[in-house]
Amino acid sequence: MLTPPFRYLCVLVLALAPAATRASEWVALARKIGSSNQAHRDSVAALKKIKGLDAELITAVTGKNKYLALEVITELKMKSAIPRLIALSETDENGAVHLTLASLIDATNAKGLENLFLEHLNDAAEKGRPDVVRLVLLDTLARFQTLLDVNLLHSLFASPTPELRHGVLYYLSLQKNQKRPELVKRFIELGKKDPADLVRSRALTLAKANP
Amino acid sequence: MKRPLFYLAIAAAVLVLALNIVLYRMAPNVKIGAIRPPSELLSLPPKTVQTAGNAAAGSPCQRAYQKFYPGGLVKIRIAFGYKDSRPSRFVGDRYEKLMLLHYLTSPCEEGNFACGFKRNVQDPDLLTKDKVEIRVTHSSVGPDDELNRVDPLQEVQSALSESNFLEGLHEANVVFYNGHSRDGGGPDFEPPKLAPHGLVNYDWYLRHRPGETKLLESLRGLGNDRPRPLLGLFSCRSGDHFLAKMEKVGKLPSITSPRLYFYTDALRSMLEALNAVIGRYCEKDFNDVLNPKDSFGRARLKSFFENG
Repeated sequence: MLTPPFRYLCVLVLALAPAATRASEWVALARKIGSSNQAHRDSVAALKKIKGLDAELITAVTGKNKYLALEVITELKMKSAIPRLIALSETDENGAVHLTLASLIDATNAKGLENLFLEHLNDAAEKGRPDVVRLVLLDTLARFQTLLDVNLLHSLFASPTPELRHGVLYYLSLQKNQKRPELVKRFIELGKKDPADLVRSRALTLAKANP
Repeated sequence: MKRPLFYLAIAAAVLVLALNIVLYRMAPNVKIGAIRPPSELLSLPPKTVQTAGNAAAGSPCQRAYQKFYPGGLVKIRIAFGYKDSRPSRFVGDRYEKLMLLHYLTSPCEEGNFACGFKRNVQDPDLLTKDKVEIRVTHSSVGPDDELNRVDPLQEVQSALSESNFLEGLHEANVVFYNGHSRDGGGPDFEPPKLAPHGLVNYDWYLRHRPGETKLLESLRGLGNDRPRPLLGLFSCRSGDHFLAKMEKVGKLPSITSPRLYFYTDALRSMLEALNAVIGRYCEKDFNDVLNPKDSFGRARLKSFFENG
């Protein structure tokens, strides 16, 4: 007979084996999410049937299948992943974690996530967050209709990256019931003088919408 | 009766354990001295490759690049298509372009070539380094497909990226598309035609094939006064969808994919190809980086070295 420690090891191995199989199963299904309509529906339905997938994905968001895991979390609206994603968002290097969080926003978590996104945009320069992360934050806060501080908008507009300067004007264009018409006018004037076509075009469109 | 079953279970468990150990040791991210952090999307591993620069004088590799880059300046076009994720409203090509630009403008690490570029201030889609210029465009004006459809600038942005792609075929040495195949109706730079429930209307794309028609027309217009560009289509199953028809028009160096592409695989594959064309990788290494052992991404290089 086996001694107890070895017996426990065997039990552990047997318990882990199906998990390894499941991992490859969800990865294969996740790859089909972006394909045709029927394949998309089938893969999402099959993913929903995998037991214990939540826990597995929460582990996978730091592994080699990170981006596939984030995709599945978005597709399945897996709210249980939010605490883990919030922890990872601090070191998000390309916006993917913040985008996944943004896809999970609902009435119950909106305020908390809005505050997190605002905090990350406010400390973006200090923490050296990449431009793509800043743009994701700005776009999401536009969706929240968050009133951003004037100095923050100016500092973002001072960026050498035209996509970010365009992002500021785009944010202003999405504000409903414009509460700061003078601010909008100021940014329109700045935008009209911008060296990038992308930014100048947006400034002119914004001017047309805010005569 | 119970004892043989128990030992059978133990034997199976030991076998699974041994298999797991073997697989774990084979996984590239746990190799001692592994250089590809698994979670860093665009972190390419340093590698020693054979290039036209270090290949034997007069080798097929050198000859291929001498024919391919006859002039001094290497012109590269990268056009991101409209990367919606229907039925969801999210559109991601603006972000993907910024991810790529972040990499292209970062200082070069050993063995990498698609790096150290400077963005032009007046013309920010243009990046330059030494004798290489890259023009990178995206297709969407915002991250929300519903809003993009009513945005007066969407049409302009779509046209800009499409012309970067189609005109690039006549002006550049290398043209890469990263976007949707639309089941053979792409490349596509516009918000998708929709079916009910916010789904992409693939039937419409199959019937009309707007992107493919424009691509083939543009290829038909290529003269013989300059080498044909290397066309990379980093989109789902681009080999199945487009390759045969492109080759009917005329011989063309190409990179296509035989599989469905997840966006990170497509980005990575495109960046590896970019490194290879700028670094002038020879055939074996070029193929190897397009088909890494530790990644799902696969791409097929065709008709590029044949004239070397």
